Amino acid sequence: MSSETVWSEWLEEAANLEPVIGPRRFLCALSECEDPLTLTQSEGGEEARRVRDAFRADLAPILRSNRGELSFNDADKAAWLDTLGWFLQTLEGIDKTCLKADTLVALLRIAAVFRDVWNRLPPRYIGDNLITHMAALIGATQFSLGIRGNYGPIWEHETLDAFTQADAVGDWPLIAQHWQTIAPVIMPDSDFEEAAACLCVSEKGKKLLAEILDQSSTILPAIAIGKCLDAAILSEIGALSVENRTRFVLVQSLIFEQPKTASLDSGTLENVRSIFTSVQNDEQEWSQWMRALNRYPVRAKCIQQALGESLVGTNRNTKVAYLQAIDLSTSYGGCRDAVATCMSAFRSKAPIVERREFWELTHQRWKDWDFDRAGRTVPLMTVAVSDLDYGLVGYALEVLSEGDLEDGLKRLTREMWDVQDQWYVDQTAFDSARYRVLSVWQIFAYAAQVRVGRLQWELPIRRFLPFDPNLDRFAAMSLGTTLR
Amino acid sequence: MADQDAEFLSQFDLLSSPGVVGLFDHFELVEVLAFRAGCPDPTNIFTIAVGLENGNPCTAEFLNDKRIRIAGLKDRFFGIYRSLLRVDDLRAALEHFFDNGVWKPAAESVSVGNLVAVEKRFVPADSIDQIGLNRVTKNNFFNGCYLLELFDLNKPSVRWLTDNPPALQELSRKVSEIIPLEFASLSDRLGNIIIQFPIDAVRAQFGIGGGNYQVEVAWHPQVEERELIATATSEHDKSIITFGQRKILSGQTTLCPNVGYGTLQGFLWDAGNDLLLAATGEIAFLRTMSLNSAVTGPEPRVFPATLDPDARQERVWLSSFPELNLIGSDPTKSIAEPIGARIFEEEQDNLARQHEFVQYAAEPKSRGVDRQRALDDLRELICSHGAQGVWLWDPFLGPQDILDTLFCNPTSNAPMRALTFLKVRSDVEKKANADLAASYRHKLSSLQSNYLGINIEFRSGHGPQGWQFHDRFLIFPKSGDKAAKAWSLGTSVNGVGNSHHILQQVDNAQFIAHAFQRLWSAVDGPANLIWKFPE
Repeated sequence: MSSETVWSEWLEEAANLEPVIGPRRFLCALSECEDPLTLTQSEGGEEARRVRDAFRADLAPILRSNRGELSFNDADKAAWLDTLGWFLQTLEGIDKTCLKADTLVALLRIAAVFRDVWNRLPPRYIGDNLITHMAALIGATQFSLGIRGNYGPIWEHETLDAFTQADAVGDWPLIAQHWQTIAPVIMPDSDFEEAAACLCVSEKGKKLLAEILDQSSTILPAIAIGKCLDAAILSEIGALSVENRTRFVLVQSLIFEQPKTASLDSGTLENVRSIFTSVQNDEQEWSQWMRALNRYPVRAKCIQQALGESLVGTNRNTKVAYLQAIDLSTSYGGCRDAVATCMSAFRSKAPIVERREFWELTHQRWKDWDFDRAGRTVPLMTVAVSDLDYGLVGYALEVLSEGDLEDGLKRLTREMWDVQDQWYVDQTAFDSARYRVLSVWQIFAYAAQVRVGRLQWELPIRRFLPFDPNLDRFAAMSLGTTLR
Repeated sequence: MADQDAEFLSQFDLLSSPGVVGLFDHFELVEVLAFRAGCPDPTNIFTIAVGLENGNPCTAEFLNDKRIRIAGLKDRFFGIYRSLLRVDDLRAALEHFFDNGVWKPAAESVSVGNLVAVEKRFVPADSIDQIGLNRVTKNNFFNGCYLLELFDLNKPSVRWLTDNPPALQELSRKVSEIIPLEFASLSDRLGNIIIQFPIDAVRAQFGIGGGNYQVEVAWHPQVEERELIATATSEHDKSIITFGQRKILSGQTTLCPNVGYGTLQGFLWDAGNDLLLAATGEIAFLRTMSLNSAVTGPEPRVFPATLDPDARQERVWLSSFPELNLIGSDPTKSIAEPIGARIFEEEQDNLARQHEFVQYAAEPKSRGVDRQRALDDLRELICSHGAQGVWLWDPFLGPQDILDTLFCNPTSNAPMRALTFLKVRSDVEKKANADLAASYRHKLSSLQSNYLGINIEFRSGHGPQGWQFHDRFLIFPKSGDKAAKAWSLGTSVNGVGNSHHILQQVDNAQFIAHAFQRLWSAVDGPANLIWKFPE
């Protein structure tokens, strides 16, 4: 049952089926339960077992076909159509009658068996009453974090405490830091997943879902929603939300649940951009978001384009917060690529005046960092790069004049030799000083090549030297043995 | 002018001639000077002049913003004066000194001692051995340099400094914060004037290529190439194992085979000028690298710092037993391995004979500080050597001592043994051995601790099976190919750092380990077991 055509035909056929029997044993078992909504599918106990057995008995043909064990015969098809007919007729009837808990549970469990059924249903089946019931179920679902008994590992206690505390005060960097530990253990059940999926097929349902998440006193339901929905829907709910906590968790979920190499479609990127734009109105909040999401940009590769576009039209402090958040490194790597993606997106949308401002801020951040001079415990032992290189090329091309760039390169070339006149405590310090100047020279040498049209403005991956090391061996041997 | 002075000037002329060793047009003169009220001339503490190519004229200046003052030398202050002299001006100053005994490199004269001109010497760059003179030379990182030196033999003018080592140390430290001249460790050079001629006419790199030792030579673009003689020699176990010599103009040339072990020394000889243009110290090449890797877990071991119920909690982050990986050529397939093992043994013996030790509480005021220092040292030894096991042997050993030491071992489940004789300090009431053992057991069993990764057995040596012992040792038993190590504590763990004692690595650690093992095996009955975790 994967073909959309078959689904469409069967939906039509099932809608007109008269009479339908439906999952009688399952409904009967549910009706005998004290509280079917709290009866989890994996629970032990007699009541749960009866429900489970009845479910399996009624839905056997569908379950078997889901496992790929069945080639449909007429009897199986009849069972399929009957269950689907019951499902559709029950949905149609919801607005006319009061939906009982056992029927709601039956609908959710059968929807789960049909897989992604909500998106296939004609809109008439998703009535207001159904949406209200699904929203109520989501809103009533409680999540809490606990540890394994009183003597659980210390690190678990402490991570939970830190996470809970961070949730209470909205400390997003700390939430992001513990996300990998906490988020995977928050597992919504199938009823919750189906209710969320049902809500997300209508605009009204999405708005309701965003409202529910906004009203929650913790981020746990939002994390659970992040597990149920795909990136596109998460971004839509995020864009509908008015609370930063919901927006943050949905964006963080979207990043975390997304395969590392996957990219987002244009609609999702637009939603993420719009979320960023909303948050940027609050500088303090934005600064927190950046420290949470942008410390290591490689971890949020999929949102870099949206991030870059969101920076267009923002004030200086917003851009500074973006730049300051990055934990700059001196080596080639994914962070450098991710920052280049972001800056490239910014460059494609921003007017020249704003680009100049951004490149100047980038250059200032880079100068202050100075290849991590203050924080480094290990001296530079090779030519270093920076995550900001793409923006530095922008600085050289769009801020500096041609003359300034040439003068700067000449000055740096001189400095490369003058550096040998200083006194050094040992060869390591000497090498480090040389590599520092050569590293600065690199990026401007690349920009000079771009300016004259020999190279494209992209992320430099080649190493440049102020001389040909194969021809000028004296210079090469004087400036370090690793230069070739 | 004395002959040796004339020879000195002749060597100066040769070394400063353009293209011989460099293209010097100036010398950077750095003088560390002492000033004293009432004395018109400053005193030379140390002076170095370094040959410069294209020396940019600069303002002569003191490099120190404020006068350098040293505790204990209240009547003096110091300064570091940097100036640039043309080659001719430095030569004239030297000549004037040889003729008149007055050292006046610039407008003012400087008081110097009885300076004797000494023969030029070649100083290679540091290699596996550090060369003392490189602590006072400038950037000697390439081919090496020649030094001409006026040596203050008796040092009368700086006696007040050489006789006051703390002041000398402080002065050297303060100077090296401004410019890297560490003359405190070269006190024989105090009062001297050194002229450094960096070899900048040519660059030479000795290395390995295609199973051979080779050299690459490249000339300064403004110096005409001339024929040189390159030599390489490789030594191992005090024997010369390879030697090669080739004429070379420039480029790369092979000198001799590289047999895969031993150290290389290279020389570049300019026969036309009778000068070395490059020489290396002993160079060793990395052929095998051993990599220890251990996984650090997220869960710490927690335990109370003391047996007090309100004691603060200590944390030790645990790692797994380290795994050793070798990268590169397999050392066991080379004769270098057995020879290296024998050399290592010899060096160990030499070290042992030197009786290097650490002393605690040597001064009355240091006791409080030294308690912590001594415990830190013990913990560091345990961290460094205790992955395979730790044995602690001390007749006064009690629960607090075990917390202070063995609980701090970061290697998870490292087997640890503790052996006591249930002795207690004289100010503590003595209980019956069984009662004391029960009390120790209770204390160790009821700690506010998760006992994570703890693997300790605590026994007593008392009773008919055991015997008295007096010495205290921290032992790291032999494991695999690692020899046993042992440290004599010199006092009980409960007193380390409190009163004077010496922590000393002992010779024949294996004998100590055997002795411990004998007693440990003898007292393996339940009567001697105090506590064991896990049970």
